[in-house]
Amino acid sequence: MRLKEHGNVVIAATLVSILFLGLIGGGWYLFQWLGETEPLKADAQVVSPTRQTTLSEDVARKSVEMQLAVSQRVQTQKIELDPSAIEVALAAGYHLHDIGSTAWSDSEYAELTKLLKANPEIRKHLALDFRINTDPKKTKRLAAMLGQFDDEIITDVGLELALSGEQVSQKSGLSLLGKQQPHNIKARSAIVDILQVESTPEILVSALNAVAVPPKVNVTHQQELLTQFETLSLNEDARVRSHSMAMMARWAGKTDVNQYLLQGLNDSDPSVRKTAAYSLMKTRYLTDDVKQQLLTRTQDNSELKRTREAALLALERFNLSDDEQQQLNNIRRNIQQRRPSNSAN
Amino acid sequence: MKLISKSLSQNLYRSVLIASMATLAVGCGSSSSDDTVGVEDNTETTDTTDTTDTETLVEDMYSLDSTWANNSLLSEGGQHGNSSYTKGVQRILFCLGYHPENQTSINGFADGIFGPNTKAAVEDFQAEPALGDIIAVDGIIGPETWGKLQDIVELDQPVDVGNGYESRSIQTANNKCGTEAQFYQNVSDPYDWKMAKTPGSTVMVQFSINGPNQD
Repeated sequence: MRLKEHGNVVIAATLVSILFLGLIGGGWYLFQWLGETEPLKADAQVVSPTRQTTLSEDVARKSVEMQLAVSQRVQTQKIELDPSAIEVALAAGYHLHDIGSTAWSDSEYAELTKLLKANPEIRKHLALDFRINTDPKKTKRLAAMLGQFDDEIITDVGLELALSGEQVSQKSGLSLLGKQQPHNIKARSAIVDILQVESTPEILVSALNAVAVPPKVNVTHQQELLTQFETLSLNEDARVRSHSMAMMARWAGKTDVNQYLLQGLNDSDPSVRKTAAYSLMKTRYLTDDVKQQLLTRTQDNSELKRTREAALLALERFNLSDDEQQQLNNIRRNIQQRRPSNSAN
Repeated sequence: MKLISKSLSQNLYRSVLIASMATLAVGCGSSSSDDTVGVEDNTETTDTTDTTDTETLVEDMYSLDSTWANNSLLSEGGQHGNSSYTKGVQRILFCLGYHPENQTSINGFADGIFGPNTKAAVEDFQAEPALGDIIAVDGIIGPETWGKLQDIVELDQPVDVGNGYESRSIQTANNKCGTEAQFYQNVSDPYDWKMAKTPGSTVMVQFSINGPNQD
């Protein structure tokens, strides 16, 4: 009897030990999941001193302030993360950390979109996963997926990365904000801020790409963006000038931006002239000046083939006399004939 | 990424094909009715995320522009997003290597549906700095993207497949698509292009009917 009692005590003690170890292990697992110890991929490089020298003092201060504020908000979100999202995702057949690690089909994309739409906590998890992710392919997938949603945490993560001062992280953040901005005013506002404070050409190009799709129903930020594009159209880097032309035409609406596009059409860099010619296809102000300058561009045999073709397409929208039309037909034929020898253009 | 031209005629064919595709796509925009004979409509109904926008309505930048109307572009959700035009572009993108890594068959990727994967592939293509080219990355196939495709794509030598048609395959540096026929051209009409229903087959579907120089 005593022996039996002793046996029961041993069994009970063993069970308690297993339970205790399970609790410790589970707690540690959860702690890892919540990402309390995971550093932001760019934590060590937040607005480096080297970068600050490229910004004016005020702008640098604004940038640092913006990042500090947004980092604080992201940290709060991490603390409040609901671990039940893991179970919900598992029930739907997803391991949260694996989402976006491999390519998905269009139907899988649609399914996952549906799951995220119904589960804001899973979106929050993924946003924080995006924050620490270093796989560029996963970054692209998650940006496309998360960018569909308007959660503040998604915008915050995008902004935090975009302001990190580390180029890969900055581009990741901008790609996320870019997906959000057509339907999210805060994301767009963040990009406007970044365009104001940033000076590195590669990042400026990414920031300009982030506003490549103007919202269909929006006037907010239009003038602010146009002002930025005007400033950037004078940037010393041709890529920045070229992109600012393209974006200006997309965001112009009723604003006449012809003077900037014509300035681009006469730029010293051929790629800027090409983009300006394409951008002039979108102008709603079909003036004689624009027509003449486009005609001049089409007649220039030393010009890039694609610039000439773009100018020809842009001219199709103008009222042309029979003579002018005939002239364009001749030029078009001339370009077609020159195509093989010009194919490298 | 830029491929070296093999012959003048090859380049000419290549240019004509892409220009035909582009011109037709543009032509679609200026047409009030759907007169794009033979274009396969692969319209699907997908569940889209509710992205309610409460901001003030302004006109869409394309909608007042008769030449470059929205429907002249290939985009996700656009009028010709799901069509044989998209299928043609998907084939080119696949052969150039722009597709999801788990999509290893051209027919699996080139389904004529402009979904998220096609959009991502277009974005990757647009972001490709080949030729030092700089174009906006928006996942939409518009005039600049057509232009970039025109610069990069090269079709292989034509093969006589009878009935007055020659077939063309898409040549790339990695020979990804081999010699499988992707496009067909009517020998008597340099602007009459058809597309293989299945790459490698001789079954054709209407792809483009008008060329850039009708004058």
